[in-house]
Amino acid sequence: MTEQNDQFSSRWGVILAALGMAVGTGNIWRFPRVVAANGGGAFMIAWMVFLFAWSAPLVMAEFALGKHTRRGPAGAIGHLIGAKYNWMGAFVGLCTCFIMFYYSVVTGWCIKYFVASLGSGFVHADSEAYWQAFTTASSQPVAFHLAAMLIGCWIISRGVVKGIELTNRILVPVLFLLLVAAAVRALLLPGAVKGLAFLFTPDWHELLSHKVWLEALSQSAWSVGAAWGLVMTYGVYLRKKDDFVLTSYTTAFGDYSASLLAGIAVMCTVFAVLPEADARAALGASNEGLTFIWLPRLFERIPAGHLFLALFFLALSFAAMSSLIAMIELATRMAGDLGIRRNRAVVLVGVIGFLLGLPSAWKIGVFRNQDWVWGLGLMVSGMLIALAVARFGADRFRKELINTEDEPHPVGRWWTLVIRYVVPVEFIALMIWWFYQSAANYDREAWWNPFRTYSVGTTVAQWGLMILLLILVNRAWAARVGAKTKEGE
Amino acid sequence: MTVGGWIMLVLVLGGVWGGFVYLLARTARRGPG
Repeated sequence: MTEQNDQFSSRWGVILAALGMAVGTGNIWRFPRVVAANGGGAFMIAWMVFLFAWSAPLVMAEFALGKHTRRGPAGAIGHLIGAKYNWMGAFVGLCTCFIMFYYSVVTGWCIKYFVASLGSGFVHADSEAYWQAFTTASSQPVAFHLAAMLIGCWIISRGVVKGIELTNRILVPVLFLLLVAAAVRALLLPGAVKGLAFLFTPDWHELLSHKVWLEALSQSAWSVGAAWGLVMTYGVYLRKKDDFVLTSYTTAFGDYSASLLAGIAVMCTVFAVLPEADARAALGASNEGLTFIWLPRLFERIPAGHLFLALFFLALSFAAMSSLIAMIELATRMAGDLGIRRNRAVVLVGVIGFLLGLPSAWKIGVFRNQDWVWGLGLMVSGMLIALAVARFGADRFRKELINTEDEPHPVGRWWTLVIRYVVPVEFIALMIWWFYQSAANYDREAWWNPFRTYSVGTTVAQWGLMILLLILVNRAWAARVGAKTKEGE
Repeated sequence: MTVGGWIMLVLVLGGVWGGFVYLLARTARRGPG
């Protein structure tokens, strides 16, 4: 299904594309807050465990699925284990498509703030009023959402080598340089060590808290990009001789490295500039609140803050765009697997992506709801991929699809154990915890209400509706993508 | 910062950044592929 000239041209092309996919806004605006709220150094231990107990094994599984089946998520699982399971892969792909709809809006915000930070008046403006005016009283979020979608679709229309690979060859190294510059600048501020202390000092009692472990799992999964279906899509474009175990580890360690750079940059700046109580308030704000309200205030107070604020938003825009193009490619691949020509598929994805992103651009409440529902949906995607691999035979999958003759770094039996046993246990624990917290603490009165932003009801209703629809159209969809009609065929 | 904090800083940054640089170097040794 893949044309020979539409494949990554080198090993570095694959690594940079995978890094661009993984390093996104979650590394920069979510990681510092989550570490600060969950025991600093103790959180780091749990976070490191999930590098090997969720993210890296699932990244390897995705590369293998894409390379072996030469199909995007909505065809790969059906091709691997039979047509009647095709809906599982379709869920993985559509979950990421729904993330793409609002992620394009976020990318637009980043571009808008980068452009605004180039002007001299921005730093002196009231950052909270500026953010409120931008998101509620103007059509600018729609315009920048459109701009992000147009740029992303233009890159994808250029194909794998001239589009994805070339873009990431530029964006990813520059992004890492910007993060290094931001971290070094923050470390040189007087009092920066207070930020390091908050980030790394372990509170060992926190290791007994299940919340820390579950937050670490969700952060690792969200950040590395495991189970999004994006790696599976890039796996389709691997050459036959390309191995991917080393690439999987490099992607995961590179993503973690970017998170640590961003954590140092943000935490050291926050604690160097603000008294501790205000610093905790800043870190307690939402992702948008920390990034678009607090950080402009902080940069205003440091020497050359104007320049570093612009560089910060440039890094954020690059991180967002390199992830957005991976999502657009996934959606384009899914359309291509259904028989739609690539150029038409890109236009279709662009139009649908723009239209379905509009509610999130207009209403911050819709954005938060979609972020909650489909962000959590990634855990379901991880579970579905693990189930598909287990159905095929986890050890058989490892031996036949990962440790092939082209693979110089075969993965050990630990991988089988993680996919077969550890991932399902983690998924069940995470779901029970999240739902219990929603029902017992966050929203006792209306946890069942499907029209509440963060309720269990809205999550179950939207997932359930999607799964129901996918099961109803499963036979037709499976036939279009060439899934196996009989197991073992 | 406490001694425990410094130890954690060295272990985490050394492990993650060191691991990333090691993996990049290992990839580089294999050539552009």
